[in-house]
Amino acid sequence: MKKLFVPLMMLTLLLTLMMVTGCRNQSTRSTRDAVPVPAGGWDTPFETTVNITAVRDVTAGLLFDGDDTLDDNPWTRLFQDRLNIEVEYVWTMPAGAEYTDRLNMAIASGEIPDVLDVGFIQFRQLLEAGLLLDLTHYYHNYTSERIRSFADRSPGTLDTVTVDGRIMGIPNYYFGVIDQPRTMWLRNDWYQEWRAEGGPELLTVAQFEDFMRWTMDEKGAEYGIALENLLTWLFYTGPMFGVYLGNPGGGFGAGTHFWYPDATGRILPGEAHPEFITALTYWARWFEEGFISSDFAAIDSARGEEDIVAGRVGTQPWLQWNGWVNSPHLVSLWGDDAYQIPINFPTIPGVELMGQANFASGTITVVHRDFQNPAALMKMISLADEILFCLDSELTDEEFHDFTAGRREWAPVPFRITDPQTDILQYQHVVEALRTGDTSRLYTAGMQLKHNESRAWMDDRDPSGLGSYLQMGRIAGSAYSANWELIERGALIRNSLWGPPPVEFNDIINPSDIILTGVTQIIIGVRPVSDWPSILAEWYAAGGQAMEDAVNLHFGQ
Amino acid sequence: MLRQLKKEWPLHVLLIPGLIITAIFSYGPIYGLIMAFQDFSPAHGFWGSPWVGLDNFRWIFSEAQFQRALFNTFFISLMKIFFGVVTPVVFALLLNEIRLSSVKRVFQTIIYIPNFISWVILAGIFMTILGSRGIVNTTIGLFGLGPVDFLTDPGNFPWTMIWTDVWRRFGFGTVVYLATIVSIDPGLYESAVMDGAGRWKQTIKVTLPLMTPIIILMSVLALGNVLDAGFDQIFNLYSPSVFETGDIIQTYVFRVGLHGANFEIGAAVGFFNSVVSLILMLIALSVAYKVANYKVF
Repeated sequence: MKKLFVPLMMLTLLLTLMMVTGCRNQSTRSTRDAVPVPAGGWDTPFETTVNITAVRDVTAGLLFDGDDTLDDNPWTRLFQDRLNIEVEYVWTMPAGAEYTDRLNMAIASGEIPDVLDVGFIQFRQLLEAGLLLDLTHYYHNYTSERIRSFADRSPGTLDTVTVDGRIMGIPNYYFGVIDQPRTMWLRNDWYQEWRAEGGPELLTVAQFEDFMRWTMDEKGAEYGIALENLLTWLFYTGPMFGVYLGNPGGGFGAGTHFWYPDATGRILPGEAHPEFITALTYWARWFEEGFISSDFAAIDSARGEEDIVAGRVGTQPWLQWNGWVNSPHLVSLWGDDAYQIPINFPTIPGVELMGQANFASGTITVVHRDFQNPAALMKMISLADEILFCLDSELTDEEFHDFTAGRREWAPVPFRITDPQTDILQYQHVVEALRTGDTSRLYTAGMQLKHNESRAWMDDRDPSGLGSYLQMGRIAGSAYSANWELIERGALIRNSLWGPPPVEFNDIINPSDIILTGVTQIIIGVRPVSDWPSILAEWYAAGGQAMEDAVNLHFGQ
Repeated sequence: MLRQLKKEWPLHVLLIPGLIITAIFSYGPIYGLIMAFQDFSPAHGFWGSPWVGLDNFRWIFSEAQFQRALFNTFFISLMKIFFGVVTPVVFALLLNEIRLSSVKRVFQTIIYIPNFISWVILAGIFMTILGSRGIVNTTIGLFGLGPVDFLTDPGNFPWTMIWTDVWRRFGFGTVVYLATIVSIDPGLYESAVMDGAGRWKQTIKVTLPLMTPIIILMSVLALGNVLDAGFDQIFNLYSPSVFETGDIIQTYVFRVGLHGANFEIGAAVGFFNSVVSLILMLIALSVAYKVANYKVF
């Protein structure tokens, strides 16, 4: 014992010391005093270095060259070199629920950095607690003219963050309505074979069912349509049956609905419209006939994607950027023609296809009330916009690559917002350039990126170009060409909840799992379709009615 | 006592890191329970959020989903305890009959291994083997039966959770019970043999009665954790189709409290959970003391 005493004591003291030092509270905010804002335009650098802390979600697929990291990359160096601003990310999390959960924890524990992106619920919480800085003066005096023009090009969006005439955050805007409608994605090689064998273009649900059956009979698919158990992909197919749906699995209490008026003008969630019963009937039959996997209720999105890549299923309802997700893997496994192609949803008789559009500017960049140098954020946002969206950014090819390759256009989050006409302009200019070969009108980094990536696939079969190619570069058959067709003929239905969710939602826990469970059980045959009204009634009683009333109060006619 | 302390003080010093860890991570966060009595807003913090008394508790007890989760928790947990005791007892008795010690050791090791595999990994394995095209349904299909929806049918799901958990943990119980059997005085078996008892009678009349205190002790101690029905397992295996029968208090708290950012509701449910668990634990310790003379303090 005596021999062991000294080493044991030393070990004990060391452990104690480690724990005490490990518990040191790391500051989440920069401590610098206010730095004078230099005279001149938004692009005039600070004379003294400004430190700024932030947190962020990490975009899937974000890659850096060499030894670069999130804290030291072309964007952070740009902010340092051009504006004399040093960025530090206090923490990062994968985008989605993990980021939201971590952000909630950070807010709860008071670990709020200088700048962060939040959703409307957190925005309100921070606002009520008086933790946000009034940005009105800084917005009007230190942002570029272009940034301020977004308010006119996306009417009403700036109002969502304006409280009593004070701008309390910078809305992140979004890419434009063209990115909103969903499409059906088909295995291209299978679809071409189907067409070569005399199969029809998939315009009706009956034809689509025939195609699913053919993939199972002829191509070895185990089932017909890829879906996952939070019903997100399933609900994308609503327009096939004339019903428009949200994302019920967005998380308990966070499940979102697509709201639109019925014949009487009352705004209802899609699930309460009569067409939903039709959709349920089809889905239940699809399960019975094996089009929907018998394991569907246990398949999450990762497993669903795995099945697509493994050739176990050949169709998938999804978003316009699907080309970045499965197609590169499909091509590497099954050959150059095996990527997924988007088509507009087939419909049942009597239903004219409509695309859904949500209010998509749901993220707000906010500044902690104690941050001393908010003008820095305005300058950074303006600079990022110049690099990404301006005609005269004058980037060399090498710089352009540095800022955008490997999805690095998302590296400056939360110091970037999006031009609300980005994708419509991109689509038009990229298609024109691909048609004519004239690239002189590709005036933004984004346009050049999408064009060059599309060409990389078309000319060199580079799978990393498939995302851009399938989003817009595949001229007669891209996701945007499908969506553009809907926009041109005015076949868009907007979510009546156009803006932040009603404040009453803060006090309602959305019983979305009643819908999740009910729909799933009907599809897999545990309950009959005729049970839907009682399931819906249960949802209304558990909080749905209060949500519907609030939506009608704020957005009804 | 002072003399003993003087002699053993280095050992007490060694306790310091453990005490610090316990204080920081177990006692420190307890103050967060005040959320359960507030309309908690993360931005207002603990001291700025308005007090609402017992409103959060009233809300959760009026919620059908909470009541359902509470029932599911008790059902799944009690079944796990019951079969988690019966199975290893039976297996220990069977294992004890194996005369070749090397075979016995191999069996012990094999059944103990799953205890070391996390539910994250096991969930992936079970989703594969219990799927409609998995090995289990394929085998059932050979006899013209099935397929059985082990993970997506609300009726089957709780039993799948119970039996997969029993499978994972029965190795540990078996080792404990086997140790008890081995410690039984061989003279008692010799006496039983002289009285004409066969293997079956020896088991019924000697082995089981002498195992009873440890069986009761293990069961009673497990009852103290009855509100812990296995978050890791269920969270990794459940889906909306089985919320009705598979949602337990911990998964409910996760969805409502953390994912839905309703911290006060999560805290209220967690607080309720802790109070009930404390009461059950005290009862369990009291019974364990009376039945098996087992005491912690």
